[in-house]
Amino acid sequence: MNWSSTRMTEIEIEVPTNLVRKVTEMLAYSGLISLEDVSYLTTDQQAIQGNEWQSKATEFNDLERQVLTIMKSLKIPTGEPEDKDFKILSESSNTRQFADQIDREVREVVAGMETNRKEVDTLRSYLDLVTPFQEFSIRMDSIRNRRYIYSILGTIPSGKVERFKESMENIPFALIEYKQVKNQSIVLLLGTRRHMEYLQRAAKSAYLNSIDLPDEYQGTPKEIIEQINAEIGALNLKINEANENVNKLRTSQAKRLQEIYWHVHMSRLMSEAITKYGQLKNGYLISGWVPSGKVKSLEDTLHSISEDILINIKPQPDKREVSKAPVALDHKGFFRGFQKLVTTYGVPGYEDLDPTLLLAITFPLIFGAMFGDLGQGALLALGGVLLMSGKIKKLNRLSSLGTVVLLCGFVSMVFGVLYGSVFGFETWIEALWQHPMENITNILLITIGGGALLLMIANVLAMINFIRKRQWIKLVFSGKGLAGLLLYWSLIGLLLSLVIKTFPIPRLIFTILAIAAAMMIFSEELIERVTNRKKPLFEHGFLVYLIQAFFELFEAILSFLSNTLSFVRVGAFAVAHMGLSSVFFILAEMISPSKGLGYWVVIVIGNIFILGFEGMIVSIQTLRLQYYEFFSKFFSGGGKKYAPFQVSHSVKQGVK
Amino acid sequence: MNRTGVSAYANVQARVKAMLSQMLDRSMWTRLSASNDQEMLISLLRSTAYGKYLAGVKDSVLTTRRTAFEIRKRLAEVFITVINHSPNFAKPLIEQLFKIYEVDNLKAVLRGITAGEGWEQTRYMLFSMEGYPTLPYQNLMEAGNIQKALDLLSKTTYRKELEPALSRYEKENSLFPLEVSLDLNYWQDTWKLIGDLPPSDSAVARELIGMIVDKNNLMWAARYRDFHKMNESEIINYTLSFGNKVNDKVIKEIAGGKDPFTSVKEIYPKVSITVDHVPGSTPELAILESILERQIKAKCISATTGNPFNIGLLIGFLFQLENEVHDLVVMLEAKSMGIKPTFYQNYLINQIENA
Repeated sequence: MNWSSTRMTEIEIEVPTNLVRKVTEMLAYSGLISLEDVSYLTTDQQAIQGNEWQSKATEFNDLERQVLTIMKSLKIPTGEPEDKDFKILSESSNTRQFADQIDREVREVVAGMETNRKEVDTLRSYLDLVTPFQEFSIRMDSIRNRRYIYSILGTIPSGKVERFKESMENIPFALIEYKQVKNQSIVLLLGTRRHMEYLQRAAKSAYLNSIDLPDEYQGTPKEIIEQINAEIGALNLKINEANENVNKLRTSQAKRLQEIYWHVHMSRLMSEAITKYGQLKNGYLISGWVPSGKVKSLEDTLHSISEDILINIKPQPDKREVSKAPVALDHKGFFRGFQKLVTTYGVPGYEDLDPTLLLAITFPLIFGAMFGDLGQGALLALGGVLLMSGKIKKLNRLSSLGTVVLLCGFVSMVFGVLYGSVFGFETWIEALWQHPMENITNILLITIGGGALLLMIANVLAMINFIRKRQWIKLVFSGKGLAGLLLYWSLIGLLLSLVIKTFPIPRLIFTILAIAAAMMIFSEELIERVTNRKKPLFEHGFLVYLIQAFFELFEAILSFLSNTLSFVRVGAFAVAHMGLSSVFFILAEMISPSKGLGYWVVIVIGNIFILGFEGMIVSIQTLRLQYYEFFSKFFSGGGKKYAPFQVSHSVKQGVK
Repeated sequence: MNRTGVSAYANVQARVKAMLSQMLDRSMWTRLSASNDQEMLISLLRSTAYGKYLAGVKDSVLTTRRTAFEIRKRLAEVFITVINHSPNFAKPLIEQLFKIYEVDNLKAVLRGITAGEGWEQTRYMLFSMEGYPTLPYQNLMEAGNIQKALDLLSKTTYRKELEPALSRYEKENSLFPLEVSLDLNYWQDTWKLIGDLPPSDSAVARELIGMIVDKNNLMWAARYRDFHKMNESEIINYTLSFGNKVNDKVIKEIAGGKDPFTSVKEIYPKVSITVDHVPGSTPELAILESILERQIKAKCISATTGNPFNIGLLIGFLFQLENEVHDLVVMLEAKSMGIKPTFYQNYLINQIENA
């Protein structure tokens, strides 16, 4: 049973300059050390050495991006790295030369394709101009450049044709309207060369857009269309050829590019890691955290490289250093999903309790109590098994939550038996305990009681955390510590003694306890300042202290009340679950009083709806109770996640 | 419900009559004309129906442009009221008459884009169409160039209308073809809508709107000839083929060199063309425009005092209100520059007896 995060040890490694690559490679593949940035431990002289690795890292970064760009344009996926230990590239120039060469080839091909595509677009626009005229057997060159006749072939808004004709009465002209395409008329305007300027100006003023084809296009519209189509065909051939070249490049270079990519990628990561090292006169200083159980094996591995490597193992972190220690939670199998729920809230502090195991108990319990049904629980459990199997590819990301769903389903089945409910039917099996709808008050009171118990457990956990962190004042006097627990007990005791006339413990005792606990909470800050010898005693004055302390106490009492009552929702949802099922029964009976096919269809739909919709709501409520009511009592988060330096997918993170 | 007549116009005519009574009277015009400067003119306006539009604006920001922007809001509000209460068969035409401001705004925005101006510099030059769905002027300005701005109009009729003009804009780098295209399309659409009215209404509308079309044709013809040095064919293509009394014969005569004042005298024999022409001051075309506006104004007054149960009352009132706003803006600008009434009175549509 694992109630704490993995113990971590801070180590410092002094590495001679000539061994820094080898050591870094080893560390990268061991995946044990979480590096600290100690690059500030550098003199000006040694900064130059550091800059060398910074430049290398930059160089590898540029190279990596270049290779990635090439791979993207060739549509080559990065794939997975080979299962081998990559070394830092000692000399990147060969790789760069290769990358530059491929880059050039790819750019040439792609640029060529782009140019050809643009040309095709231009030719298509010419086709659009000429196609309306394809029926006509006039040679286009016969229209252009005539000695006496000036002509304009083009399109004019159909609504302007008549006006245009009226405007041209002063000069001889002919306007032949061929046809209308949408709102444009295709026209041929003819006049004398003498009136060319007049015709041009008139045409312009009538928004007559002439067809401007390059002079090279001679012949009838049909011949021109054929010529353009042939050109488009030739360009398309070139584009296809270019595509084939790209495919050939892809096929021939894919593997090499992938290898290079990963090699450069790993080299970059390792170079970037080296930039975090401190600089010594003749070497480097590596600082980081290693799981305490792995220190010896790391030491041995380093010494196997060279005895010149010095390892300084620091003692376990004290109160001041403990916040720097990274937190490694490494639950396996069943508990991995619950670990995810914990880290979603926050990473626990190094000295704090790891609440994963507790969550693995309380979460399904609360969920099951709200969702108690044997049949629906079984379906949920089945869903959990499916998630865990990874058979549904789209849900692979959520496979670790499969255990959560499975457990929740299982506990729902248990509560289903206790409530006597199977797919909403309350007559198929006998309730081992009671149907929620039959005694609502009972259910609500029991869930409040359960909630109070959980809150007390949370209080105890908070106290354990205070002990682990040696925060003695808080342990005794804080609202989350002993004082808080006493206050809570005494308030509950007072309430019970008021309600139960024959309660064995006298009310006075609870009253005295409550007052004492309240005074302890009230004086927490004062005692802390006295023990730490802080002056003045009342930082902002006695009156301010009084008011502040009063409101903090008030808030503590209020939060006890609200947090406790919050658990009534567990009972409420248990009742609502049954209520929702009964709604579907009513609907089913309305549709088919004789319980025929329609009846069962509605029941099935109802169960699906409850499973999906209510299942989701109940999960949210459970999560809320866990996070807000439970975790907030003892879990402050703020821990630094353990993220060891590693570069290969194939390296397993061996923590314990 | 009757398509025409009393029942169709009962509601709106009462409102229009009420709004007519709020127009500035002769004595107010005299006082406005006699004001010493812009500030005094604005303070006089505060006591009129324009006061509420000036009330919401701090004095310190009431520049000439801003004041003009605010007082034009009255026109927008009145238009929207008339649109909302017009009989259904008349609504399209009244809306179309309101849309002239949208067209003018669009032209102003395109000019602003070409001049590299920002939204803040242009916004108060536009006609406020608050309360009426219109174009996204700010987005158009911020598009940064004409092509992108027109792409934003792809879902409006403007995009299709401007398509033939766009290639000319790209070649000539001039907004002229776009602006002319907007104007011509606008008036063609307006003229078509008149045809959808019942006969009695369409006759009145044709007369009133026809006079405006005539004015536009005459002004355009004169301007194209004198400033743009266009030939007859161009002038014909850039003017409208319909109107009240101005036809292609008149336009061709002007294109051929005839004095437009002579043409106006022939069309409106009773008009007085005597002008207090101070050499070197008021350009002749501006005088011509004012003369024509006054003819239109006279017709509008006749329409608003005649049968109240037809579209003539609505159009007549709206045009009169436009004239009122026009004159106020002229006065504002004149007062801000310290120009005496003698020099600006020819620009006014309402002739004012100076105090």
